[in-house]
Formats: sequence, C-alpha cells, structure tokens
Amino acid sequence: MAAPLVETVGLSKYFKTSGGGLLHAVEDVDLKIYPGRTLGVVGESGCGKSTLGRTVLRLQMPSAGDVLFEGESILKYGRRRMKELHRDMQMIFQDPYSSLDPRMSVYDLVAEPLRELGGRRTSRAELGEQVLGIMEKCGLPRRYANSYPHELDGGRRQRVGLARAMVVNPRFIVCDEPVSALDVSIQAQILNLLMDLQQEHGLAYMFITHDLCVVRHISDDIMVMYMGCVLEYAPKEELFKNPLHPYTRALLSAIPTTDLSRRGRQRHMLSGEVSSPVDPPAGCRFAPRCPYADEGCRVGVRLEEVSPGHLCACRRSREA
Amino acid sequence: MEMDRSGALLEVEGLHVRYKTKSAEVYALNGLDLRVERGEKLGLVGETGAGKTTLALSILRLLPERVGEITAGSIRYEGEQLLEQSEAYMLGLRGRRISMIFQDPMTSLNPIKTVGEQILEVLDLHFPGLSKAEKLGRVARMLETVGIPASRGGDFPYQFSGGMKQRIVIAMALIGEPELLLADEPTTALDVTIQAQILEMMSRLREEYGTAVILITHDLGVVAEFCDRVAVVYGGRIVEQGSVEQVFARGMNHPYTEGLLGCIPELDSRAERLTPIPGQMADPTVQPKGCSFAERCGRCMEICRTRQPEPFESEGHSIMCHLYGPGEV
Amino acid sequence: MGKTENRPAERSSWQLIARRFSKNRLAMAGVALLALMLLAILLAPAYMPYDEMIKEDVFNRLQRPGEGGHLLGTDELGRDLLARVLYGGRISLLGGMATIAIAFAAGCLIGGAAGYFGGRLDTVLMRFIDMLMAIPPVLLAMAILTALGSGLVNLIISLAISQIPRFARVVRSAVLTLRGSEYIEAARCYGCSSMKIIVRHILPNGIGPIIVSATLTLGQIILSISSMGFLGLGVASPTPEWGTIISENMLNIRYYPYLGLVPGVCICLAVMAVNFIGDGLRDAFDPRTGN
Repeated sequence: MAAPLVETVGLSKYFKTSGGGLLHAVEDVDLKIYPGRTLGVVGESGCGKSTLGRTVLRLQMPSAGDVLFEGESILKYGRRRMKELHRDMQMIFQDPYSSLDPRMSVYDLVAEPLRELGGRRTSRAELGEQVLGIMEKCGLPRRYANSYPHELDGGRRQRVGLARAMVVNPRFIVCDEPVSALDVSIQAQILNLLMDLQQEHGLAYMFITHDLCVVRHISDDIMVMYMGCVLEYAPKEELFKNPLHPYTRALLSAIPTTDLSRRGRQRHMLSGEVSSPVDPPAGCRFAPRCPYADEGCRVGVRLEEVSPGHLCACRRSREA
Repeated sequence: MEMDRSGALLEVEGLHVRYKTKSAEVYALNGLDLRVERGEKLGLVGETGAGKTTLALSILRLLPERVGEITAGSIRYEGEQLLEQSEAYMLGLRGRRISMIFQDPMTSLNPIKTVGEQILEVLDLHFPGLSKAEKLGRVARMLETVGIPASRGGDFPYQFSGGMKQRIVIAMALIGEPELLLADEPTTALDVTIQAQILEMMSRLREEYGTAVILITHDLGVVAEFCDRVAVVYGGRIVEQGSVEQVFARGMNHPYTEGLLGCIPELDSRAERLTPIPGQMADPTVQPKGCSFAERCGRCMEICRTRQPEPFESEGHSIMCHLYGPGEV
Repeated sequence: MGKTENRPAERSSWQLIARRFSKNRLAMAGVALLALMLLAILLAPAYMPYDEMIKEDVFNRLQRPGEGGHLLGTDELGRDLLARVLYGGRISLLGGMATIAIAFAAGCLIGGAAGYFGGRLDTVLMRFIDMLMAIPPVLLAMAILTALGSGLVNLIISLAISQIPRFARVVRSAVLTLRGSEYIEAARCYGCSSMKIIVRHILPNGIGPIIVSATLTLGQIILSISSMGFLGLGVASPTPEWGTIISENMLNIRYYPYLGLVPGVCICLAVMAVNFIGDGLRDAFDPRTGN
C-alpha cells in the first residue's frame, strides 16, 4: 500500500476548564489515512471526534503529539506553508445552516477559497469558470449562483459546503458529520455525491459521525472513540463481522433497524451514561459502564493489535 | 362499524392546517386522517416539513396564534370534538389527559427550578385536591420509575446529563397519567446507547400505565423497534399506514415509503450505492392537484398529476396511491 | 432587461446591498429628509446672512410666525427663529453625526478586538470599558471637556468618548456570538486572516444591532450637546444650537409654543431620518429580507 497521506502520532488535545481541571478531549491517537480511502471516526457526542478532526487540520493546536502530511510534520509550518497546505486539506461541516455566511451568495461562498488560496492571479472569467464548474459537479446548477444560503434547503446548502471545499482541488477532506442534519432522502444523495467525488479525484476522507450505518456505508477503515480514546480500530468488514470491544458491540446492538428479523434480538444494553472527561481516572475510560470490567481494567489498557490490522483496547479482547 | 369507532382514543379526520406568513401561505396539513386506539404505540414517520409536529400541535391546539390555522377537519378525543372546546377545557386537558414531550431536553426544563419542583408543578395544576405529602410521594415514585433516584429531586437541570434530562421530561409528561403521550422526536438529540435506554424505558412505562403513544420521528429504525403501527406522512397527508410488520415487510408499499427504505444505509446491506429519492420535498406553498409525491415518484402515471389518490385498504394496511386500488388487485 | 446570461461574478454584494437599500421606501424617505435638512443647513449662509438675521432686536421681541418678515417668528431677544434653527443645525446635526461616527469606529475597534481575540486582551479592554461605564456619560463628557478645554471639536471628542462603552459592548457581544459559527471556522480552513475574517464575515453579520443602536443614540447626543451648552461647556450661548434654543426659550414656551416646537421638531425629524436610514441599512445588509 502507498504511504499514508495523513498520519497522527500520539495526538492529544487537552482543554483547561474554568474549574482548573483538565478536559481530555483527545488522548494519544495514532491514525493513518491513505490516498483515495476513507477513515470513519465513530463515537457518541462529546467523545472528542470533532476536536480530533480540527486538530488534524490544525484549526486547533494539539497539546501533544504530531500531525504528518505526506510524512512531514505540519505543526511547525508558518503562515505561508499553512496556506499552501489548505489547498490540500479542507473540511466540511455538520450544520449546513451555520457553516455558510448568510450574507454571501452561493457564488461568492464557493469562490472565496480560490480568491484566498488561488496563489497566482486568475482572471475573473477563469475564476468564474472554475467556480461554476465545481458547483455543477456538486449538483448545483449555475442558476443557484446568485442565491443566498437561506433560499436553499439543507441538502443544497450542504452541496455548497462541499463545493467550497472542493474548489481548491484538495487531496484530503475532513467531513464532520456532514449528513447528520439532513433528512434521510437527502442524506443518501450527499453520501453518493461524496463517494463519486472520491472516486473521480482520488480523495482521502476522514469521516466523522455518530451513525454507524453511515460510517459502514462510506468507510474503508473505522475507528471507534470513547471519551477521547481509541477503543477499536479495524478495517470496516472486520469490525462489523468481528467487533471485539464491549463498547463497539453495545453500539452495534443499539442501532435501531427496520430489519424485522432483528426485532427482539438480544441487546447489549449499556447502563449508565458517559462520565466526565475532566481529569478522568486512570485505566480504561469505558470501565464504569462496561459489564465485563474488573479491577484490572481500572489500572490501564493499551491499544493492541489483536489480529493483523485489527486493534482493540480491551484486556479481554484476546480471550474473546 | 359504529361500535368499532367508539373504541378509538383519538380520531383525526380531514385535517387541514395552513400557516400564513408574510410572503406566502403554507399548506402544512392537507386532509390528514389518523386513528389512535387506546394503549397503542403509533409511529408517525416523515421528513422535515411533512407536517408531523403540526399535527401534534393541532391536537393540543397549540398552533402559533394568528399564524397557524385549522381550516377544516375534526379532532375527536374520547369522542369529544376538541376543536369546539374552550381554552379552559384545553388547559385542563394538556398535561393531564394528553401530554407532549419535545425533541430537545436541554430547553424543555426551567434551569432555575429543581426538577422535583417542576414535576410537582404539574400535580399542583391538575390535582389540587391531593395533600402535599401525597404529591411529594407521587413525584418520588415517578422519578424512581424513570430511573432517577428520588433523592435527586432537589437537583437542578444542569446537574443532569442529556439522557437524564429527557427522563425527567418524560416523568413530567407522565405524572398526570395521561391516556395519550405525544412524543416529538424524543431521542433525536441523544446518543444511540442512551436512545436505546430511553426507548426501552418508554416501552416499560407504556405497559405499566397503558398510555397510548404517538412517536413522531424521522428514524424508521426507531419506529420498527418501538411501535405497533406506523403512519408515513408526506405533504401533509398520511400516505401509508399499517402495522409495523405490514409496512416493513417490504411487500406492498407506497413509493415514498419504498424510497425512504432504500435511502437508509442498513447495517447488513451490501449495497455499494444508496438509492436516494430524486428531487426535493414538495413545495408546501402550492396545493398540487394530484398526488403530492408525483414529481419525485419513479412510477408516476398520468392520473397521479391530475387526481388525488384515495386510500386503498386491505387488512388494516392502507396506502394512498393510484398504483393500488380495487382495480389493480 | 430581458433574460440575460447569468453573470454572477459581475454582481458584487455591495451592488446588491445598494439595490436592496434603494428599494426600501422608508429608508429612501429618510435619505431625502436628511439630505434636505443638510442642504438647508449647509447652504444657509447663501440665502440667510447670519449677522442680519440673528442680531438682537428688542423692538421685535417675540414676534409670532409670519409677523414682521420673520417666517417663524422671533425669540425673546428678537432674533429670527428660522435663522437660529438653521445655523444651530450645523452644530447639532453635524456635531451629533460626527460624534457618533467617532464613537462607532472606536467601539467597533475595541469591541471587535476584545470579542475576537478574547483572553487577556478582552479582560483588559473590557475592564477599562467597565470603568468608563461606571461614570454617567454626561458627567464623563464634562470631565473630559474640562480637561481638554471647551470648543466644538473638544466637545465632539468628549461626547464620543462617553459613548464608546455602549458601542464596544454591543460590538463585542455580536462578535462573541458570531465567532463560534462554523462559517468562521470554514474561513480559517481556507486561510483567511483574522483581520479579513472580522471585516468580511463578522462585521457584516453583526452590524444590524450596532447600526440601530448608533442611530438611536443621535437624539441623545443632540440633547447632550445642548446640556453641555446649558452648563456653559462646549458651545455657549449666544451660538445657536437646537438644544440651547429650547432651553433658552423655556420660560416663554407656555405662551409662545413655537419657540420650543420648531427646534424640537427639528431634533425629532433628524433622529427619525437617521433612524429610517439605519433600519434600511440593517435590512440591506441582510439578504434574507426582501429580494
């Protein structure tokens, strides 16, 4: 396999809370994203998956660890290099309402990254061609160029967000819950579009979501996060066929499905709720909710390779 | 026929609701019919703007004043016509005989009152005759029932997590022991593992109190797992209704339901591509002559654009589509 | 114009803002009214010589409007009211607008920086603003004016400073609510600098309440100018100025109501015109209103 396009090494991000505690948003994450492939990051709200995405793009500086793009650390880049990097790394956001400046027309929204990052001066006509071309590719006919975000529905707004990211022709896009705010029928349109663009441009995605069905559909590899830590990391098929971590299993069984044959199945119900990520105790973060936890789990766990390519952070994973 | 009808808890017939905004008139409900039996769990499925929440607000007569207006139809609750009742009557009804829970548990609780006080307030309103001690006892029992230690009744909303808050909201809705609970996307703001907990608890409570539930949601999976019966809303009408088994068996469905089922990535499916429903939600400011789904339907016929389909019913499974009719079967 | 080819690149957002503004009838009425007042005031020397009309004339005291060639009558000292109102407008209206412009600019700068960068800068700037706010505006302006020495320019500066806290607060809160928006993050994703983000994304979105607050302040400023004059600071009698004209004629207003009515109406009209313009600007900046 080719060298990874994006890689993180021991990436951590902590926030100081007003109470003087330390919020562990992301803790010691190693990941590799290859060109043309998708890493799905799954976890419940507050598990640090969005912070992880923003740290990879250096929208937030990590507290520890490193982010590599094509094998080179991006953390020491100056302004100029960062600008160049943004031509390769883009992001699309969850909320198609708040991620578009309401005072800008669709054309201006899509054109702005080009104006900022264009580098050499492009003529107005050339810029127009590029913008309208990418809009068309994202399913926005040119008659929408003069529309404003409030005049579009959720699906079209998300297409604008996608066009804005695509217009600089990036190689890597962080997708932060891009379909969670959309209706299912629109969600399917956007997912298909994302997959088409990936195929055509050989894009790499980091796809952040809480929806396991969506992540299964779009990802090649999947990373399950809980309270800032990676609990399980495996190729998609392997993870769904052979989930090792008790949390992954609980997540999978909690998904409501329209498949009637799965009705009334045995569920791995979790008791309790996510505890506070501020100054968390040592050991496995999931232990307080884990039905199998024992004293050993409160001491410490490591993410270990259980079988080739399948990593799991559970002491019992080898037994299972 | 007459005998059968008298048993229904809620009967909505031909309901039309219109919103008047500065720029346009929005036809939210266009002749919606719905029947809810006692103790039944009905799932009301549809996408944003289909009219699900409008229906719930109409039942409680809480449509925004001067903007939303019921233009035709009837709503019968235990045989009484709700649209003709006084506001005082409705006040006695809301929270006592029909309760509603909203999507966002974060904003449905008053942040400066303890949760115990807030639950107690419902009792004070609807059961003024009870003694203080009895009321407090009921509040404590209710908290335990929804899985919160009674000792936490003195805590404020900010001290609870999202899932716990939704439990408290449910406790407030059920303390009056209503016969009908309108749950508007009660788990949408919650994580899946918490959602599973809440749905399981709601199922248990329903058994215990015999409350009928209308679960409003966009998530077909939630309906399939929680409900007995499903009603699919599109363009302000029920386009399909039937038992969960009938609708999700994927035998005979309305094209819209079919489309919805084709859009969700399923855990076990091997499909490489999803099959989205083409186009966008029908424009609610125009009333189409024919079927409101015609523009997006892959099996649209001549008649679909010109005539409103009638519901076709067989064994309690009804579909409002020209594809199905006495002639076809 | 028929159906022309859609050339989006050639319709800048400023043109669109201008077009939306020009379509707003109330705003255009405000512009017309304000333009009329400004013209009348600025061109007054051309048609109404100051020395002739405003000289004291004890024989023509308290003439009713229309009597003795005085269109709006005369005051206690026989000075032509129309001329005094026109010349007074130069100080009241222009001074008031200048004051607001200064306070507005400084408030945007301070509030914008505090809200956007946050942290220690925010703490320092806002504590300073809190200090200013603790002193009543008029008192603050008086103190500054006393230190600077009287005169029209100093008066404007001191009044502007006394209004900065209000603008800084409004701007800061607008920036704070907008700073967390995802579109600001998106802008950072394509390398927008902080300055560009503030100017291009935050200010246009937060400008509505700021403009409204600015236009509503005008009336207050006009009255403040007069109260300073009343106290013998800034512009002193006999230099005409709307507020001063009212206060000078206070004793006679009961029997000669026009003496108070005319300058009062002038203040009202000016505030109204500016207010309409402000509302129009706010709506024009927002593509969600109208077409």
